[in-house]
Amino acid sequence: MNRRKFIIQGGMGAGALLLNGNALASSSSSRLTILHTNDVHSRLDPFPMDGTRNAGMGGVAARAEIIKNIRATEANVLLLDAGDIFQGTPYFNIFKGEPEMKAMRMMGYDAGVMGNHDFDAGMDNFVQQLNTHGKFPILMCNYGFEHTPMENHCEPYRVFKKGNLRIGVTGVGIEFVGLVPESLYGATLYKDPVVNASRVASFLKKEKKCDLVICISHLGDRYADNKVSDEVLAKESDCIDLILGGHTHRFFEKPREYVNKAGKKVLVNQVGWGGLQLGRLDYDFSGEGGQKLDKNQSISVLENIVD
Amino acid sequence: MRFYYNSTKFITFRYTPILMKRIHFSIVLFVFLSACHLSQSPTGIGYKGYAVGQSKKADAGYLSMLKPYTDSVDKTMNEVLAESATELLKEVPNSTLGNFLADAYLWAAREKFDKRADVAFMNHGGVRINRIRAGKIDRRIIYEVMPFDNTLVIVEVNGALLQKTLDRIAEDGGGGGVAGLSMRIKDKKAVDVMIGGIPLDPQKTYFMVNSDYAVDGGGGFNAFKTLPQQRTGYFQRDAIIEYCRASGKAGIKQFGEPKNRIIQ
Repeated sequence: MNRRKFIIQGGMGAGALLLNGNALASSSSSRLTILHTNDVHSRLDPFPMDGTRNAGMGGVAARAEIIKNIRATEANVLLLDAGDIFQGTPYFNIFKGEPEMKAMRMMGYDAGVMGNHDFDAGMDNFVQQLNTHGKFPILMCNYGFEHTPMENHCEPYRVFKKGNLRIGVTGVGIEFVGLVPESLYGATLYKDPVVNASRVASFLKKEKKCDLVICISHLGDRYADNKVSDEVLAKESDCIDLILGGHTHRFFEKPREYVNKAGKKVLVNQVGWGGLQLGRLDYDFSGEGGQKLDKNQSISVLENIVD
Repeated sequence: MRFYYNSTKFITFRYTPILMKRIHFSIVLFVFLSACHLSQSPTGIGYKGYAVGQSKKADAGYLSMLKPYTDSVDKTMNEVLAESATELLKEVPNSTLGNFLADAYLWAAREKFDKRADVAFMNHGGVRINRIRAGKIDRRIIYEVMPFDNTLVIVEVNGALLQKTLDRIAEDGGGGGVAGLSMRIKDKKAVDVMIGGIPLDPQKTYFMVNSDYAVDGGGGFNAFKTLPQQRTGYFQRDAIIEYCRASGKAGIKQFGEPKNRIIQ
């Protein structure tokens, strides 16, 4: 009887062993730390010391220091940007995005999307800066880049393996009309973000067996009219778990929670602009007994707005 | 109870085949788990927003990476162009900062392209910082308030269309920048409109200075696109820089004056 019990446990142990990557590291390989920025707008230096609210805040050196410290304690870090890397300080007017991309590469960005201002110095320039200095993937599923300089430089999604977790990441961009001059977006086709992100997210969850599906977005968090936004995408999709947004320069006190079409919880976050804030979400998958996060269960704020 | 006891006894008795099945199951489970990934669900989520720069700690590697870029930027951007006696603010309904920019466009259009320029506009969303503090105005702050490479376009509009343009501004509650005119917002319409001190005439043709962005439909207004126009190719930013430099040389320190071009 004892021997039989041992063998049954052994069988389960084999499963647990594989899920955790190794038998000893139970929590660390089942925990994911997502860091994100949006609308940094070429703010490489801290804001000038002019006595205003943001004086001395931001800057890539301070952001990199925080990221370095997080990487020192967390094994599985995913660093993402939701667009508008470019435009806003003389650095961009003179160097067309070179130092911005260099800094992002040094910080180890895993992926990003194109915001409307990333077209400002032309798509040829964006591709050149990205390939020469940035070297991170642009993940977007609703821009058709065929016959543009971005063709072959954008992927609809990527699956990142972090510890024993599989994280699917896709991205969406905003409609150009009234926002980006036609001379800059050229032959780029804007496609419905809800339809395309839902399709890719479903594929990532069901076919690619991702534990978490993230959509990086430059749609904007929400609008007074029925314009498509992160809020609309969250409610209308069924396989996206987290939307990391931008464009509207909104500082969230904490991520907003929505319930999607399948009745599951979706989080949406945005961290203002100018590199003033770095967002961090820790997802723990190591809970006992396969207990899942209830849709009514609120997320815990670890320690908000403290560096 | 009795049946349960018996069945347990039965299993104990048929020990070997069951054990074989368990071993078999374990192997199958092992192979299955090796081949596929079983999706997991999060059991806890935490959030933290870091205020970047609050700790005053910075990674020196980035400062040295930036140095050659910063030196080059500083060389051109630290040039002082003018001095402002007052703080210029991005506000609604009347924005001294927006009006200051519109003044620069009107000035540049009249100086360099067409003396007939009557009015100038700056769209609210295009004003990229919220204030220029009283004191020195350098090139850097002008690049920050107007980072875009948008150019000036002078469009011939009739008074009726100009009224419509101002009604749109009134509907948004004012803001942006206007030069060469004044108006009052009443029930989301522009009333008491004065162009160069004279009431707006719907029949008259006016010369309006705007950006290629706005004329081409940026912000969703497509009425200007097909009208007679002069595309100057001159950056709005260069217009502001030249306007400041000329004002600085002339000892002018009042900008965005007169105030209250748009009142509620």
